[in-house]
Parts: sequence; structure tokens; C-alpha cells
Amino acid sequence: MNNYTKKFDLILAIPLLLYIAVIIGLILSAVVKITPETILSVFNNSAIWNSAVRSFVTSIISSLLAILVAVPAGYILSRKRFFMSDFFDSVIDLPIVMPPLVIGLCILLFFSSTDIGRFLDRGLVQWIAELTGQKTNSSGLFIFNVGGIIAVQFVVGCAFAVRVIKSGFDELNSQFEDVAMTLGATPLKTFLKVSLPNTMPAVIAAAVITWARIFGLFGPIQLLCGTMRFKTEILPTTIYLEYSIGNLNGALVVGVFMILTSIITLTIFKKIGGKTL
Amino acid sequence: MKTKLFLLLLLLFLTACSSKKNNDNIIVLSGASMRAPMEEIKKMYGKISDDNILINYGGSGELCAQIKLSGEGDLFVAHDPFVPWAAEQGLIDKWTTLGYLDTVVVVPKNSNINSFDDLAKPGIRLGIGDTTYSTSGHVVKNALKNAPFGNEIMSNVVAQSKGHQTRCNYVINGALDAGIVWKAVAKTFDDKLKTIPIPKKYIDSITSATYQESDLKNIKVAVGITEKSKNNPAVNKFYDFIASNKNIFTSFGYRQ
Repeated sequence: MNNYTKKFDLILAIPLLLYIAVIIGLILSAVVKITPETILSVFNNSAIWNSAVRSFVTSIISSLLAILVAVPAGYILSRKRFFMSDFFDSVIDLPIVMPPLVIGLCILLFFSSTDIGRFLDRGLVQWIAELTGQKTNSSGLFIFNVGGIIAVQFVVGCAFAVRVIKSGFDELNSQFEDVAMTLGATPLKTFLKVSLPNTMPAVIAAAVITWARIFGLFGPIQLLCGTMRFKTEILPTTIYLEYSIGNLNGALVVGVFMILTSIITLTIFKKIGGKTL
Repeated sequence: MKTKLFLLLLLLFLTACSSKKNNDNIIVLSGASMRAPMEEIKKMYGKISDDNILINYGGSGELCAQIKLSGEGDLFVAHDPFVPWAAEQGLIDKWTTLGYLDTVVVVPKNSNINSFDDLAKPGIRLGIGDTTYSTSGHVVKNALKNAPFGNEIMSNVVAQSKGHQTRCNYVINGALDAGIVWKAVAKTFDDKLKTIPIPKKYIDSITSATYQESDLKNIKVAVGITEKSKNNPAVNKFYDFIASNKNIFTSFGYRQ
């Protein structure tokens, strides 16, 4: 490498260094405010553990649901051309470009003011209880309940999963599938033995992106599920609640805890996913 | 062409950033529940003064944290216990009471809930303020302790939330059958919701609230001048204007 390109590279590296300095500076400005006593007082509170567990369980369930839907959806959108397929493809982008709060508002209105939504939210539980002859005082499944957290996370996250998995199938040469089928494999066997294994890195990448997107999601969840301790509280809710009563240090500890767990989870997934991420 | 466009954008950006220097900017941090009367007062003040009134609405507790952290803000409008609490911490120099808040039940116009005790009917979806993190939640918790059907009503609570406007919206769109909110907030939803008073005898005079002892029967709304702006004449002028127009608060359902 000669001096001439070295200088050029250095100039190009300046924006990168500046941005990295901004990111690390921001995280540090939160970290330096934290004292060991606040860490202890925050983690001595059982509400934090309760909300952390709820955060992880809901975000993992939602990510798995999203992948379950996104693998077949991505395959169809990538491989087949059918009536209105371009339209479907554009609709998938809507949850990505829609403001999250608008999504939350739409979900709230669906469950609270449409007949089918009200049935899913409240009627279903009553109906099952009557069928099995039990009494229920359940307040429903979605509004102000944990089901709502998963519903919001799924709607927001699944679009990302479909996008990533579809591009995974796009990159896989369809001749492999054609060859498998000329050799006598059924479409199902081809899908399971050829298409899916070759797109596995994309599926894992989709899971990571989906999880990362929904782990910190708050606005629409607050709208649909409220901010109830021990009921619909997730880690972003904890930050909001602590800040709302002026406990800045508590909010910061939970914030840094979220940053650390995200970094650890992403690193583990990157190891699993290999070079593809 | 591109350079010209860029310069034009830069110019626009700079004009947007620079405020008019000849007028004073007065930053008011106001609890969201006080939005209606504060907007009215801002409109009235605009007729007699050129000062820019910038009002930032939020939860009273969050705004308290904001004053503490940023040191910004000239006036603080909030309900109990936040203004006296901020004064105790040295964030507020002087303050004055603007009115008192009552709590009411809001239900849709066509609802068959007609009295406070009707809230005890099984299957009603009731929303109240957060009993740990909000003042109105404290009032409700206290009232239910004293009400004859308090336990039944408490078991109908499906949501504890912050923000009274939000709770009214939940009732309007059917997520809740009934909500307990400030009367002053319920008044701004007059056209869509009917209100049912909570019997005063259920509410204790003194009980502990978020930060200190408060008189739950008389939750006061107050305006205070922040420590940093106590000598600013423009801020003092607006403070006096608010204090002399308590009738605006009365007209929005605050008790004097």
C-alpha cells in the first residue's frame, strides 16, 4: 500500500471514528453515574427481576413466532409470482415504515372496538371457561395483559424477519431445488433438505434482527398493555416508571443492564451464525 | 444547483434555530392534566404580552426530575405533592395554589353504570391511576379502603396506568368500561363521557402520598417559580398573571 491511499483511507476513517466515539461516549455518560449502591438497591427489588424475565420470555416467544411465519412467507415471496404478489410484498414493508406508536394504536383499536378483536381479547377466555365448566375472572388476553406485549412485538418484528429471510432465499440459486426435484425429491423434501439448510444463516440473522428490534420496544406496548408492576412490566417499562418518579439512577442501572444483555445475546448469536452476520 | 439548494436549506435551518431576541422565552413545565386551562391562559397572555410562552407537558414527577437534572424551566405547574416537594428540595423559590382537584368516575354516555357502587358489579373493566406511582392512584386506593364495596371494586381493576387523558381515551374506545380520573380532565371529554362523583366521605383527609404526607381530600394544583428564574421580571409577570386568573382553572372544573 502506498502513502497516497493510506492518507485517503485515514480520511475515510474519520467519520467512523467519530460515530464510534459518539456511541461509546453516550454509553459512558450513563455508566459513570452509576454507583455500587444503586446497582444493589435496583437488583434487590424483585420487580426488576420480574420485569427482566417477562422481557426475555415475551421477546423470545415473539421472535420464534415471527420466524415460524417468516420462513414460509419469505420462501413464497422469493420463489413464486402470483396474483398481487407485488402488493403483498409491499404490505410486508408497512410495519417497518409505520411509526411504532401508530401500530400500537391500531392494535389497541382492533382489540377494543371491533367484534372479532373483542372476542379474541375477552370472549375466547369466557367461552373456553364455559365449555370446560369453570368460572373465570380473567380480564382478557391482550389489552392490559401479557398477550398484548407479544402481539405488538410480533407485528413489529415479523416484517423484519420476512425481509431478511426472503433475501436469503433470493440469494440461493433455485437450480439446486430444480436438480433435487429432477432427482425425485418431493417439494417438501426439497424444501427441508435443500432450501432451508442453505438459508439457515439468513434465518438466524432474521431471528437476531427481530429480537434486537423488539427487545427494547416500549411506546406501542405502553399504549396497549399499560405499565403495571408485576403484570405488564418489561425492562423499558421499568426505566420509564423509575424515571417518572425521579429515580434517575435506578433508570440508568436498568438501561445499562439492557445494553449489556443485548451485547451478550448478539455476540452469542453471531458466534452461532458464523460469518454471515 | 446543488450548492444553492444546500445553502438554502442551511439558511432555513439557521432561521429556525435563532429565536427572536427582542422577546423573552418563558419555559413552563406543566403537568399534562393541566393542559386545558394552561392553553387558555397562554392564549389570554398572548393578547397582552409579546413574550413567547413555551409549555412542556408531562407527568408531574417526570417534570420534577427534569428541573433537577437540566436546571431548565422558569415555571412549574403540577398537582400535589410535587410543587411543595420541589420547593423542599430547593428547586422552587415561591409558589401559589391555583385550585383543587377532585376525582370522578368516567363512563361512556350510554353506560349502565350510574353510581360509584355500581363499579362493584362483576365483570366491569375499571382503570385507575397507578397506586404506587401516581397521586390519583393513592386517592382511589384510599377511597376503596373506606367504601362499602371497596374489595369488589378493587377486583374489577384491570388496569393501573399513568395519565388521565389516556385513561379517558381507553374508556372512549372500549378498552375500559369505566375509569377514575381528575374531574378537570373529565371535563375536557364532556361530549363523549359522563361523570359520576366519588362520595367525599370515602376519602381520608391526610394520608401518605408519593413523597410526603398529603391531604387527599384537597389535592392542590400549584404554580411555582424555579430558583434560577426568581429574579427574572418577565417570568414574575407571567407568574402573577396566572395567579390572578384562578377563575380559568375554576371554569375547567378545579375547585377553589
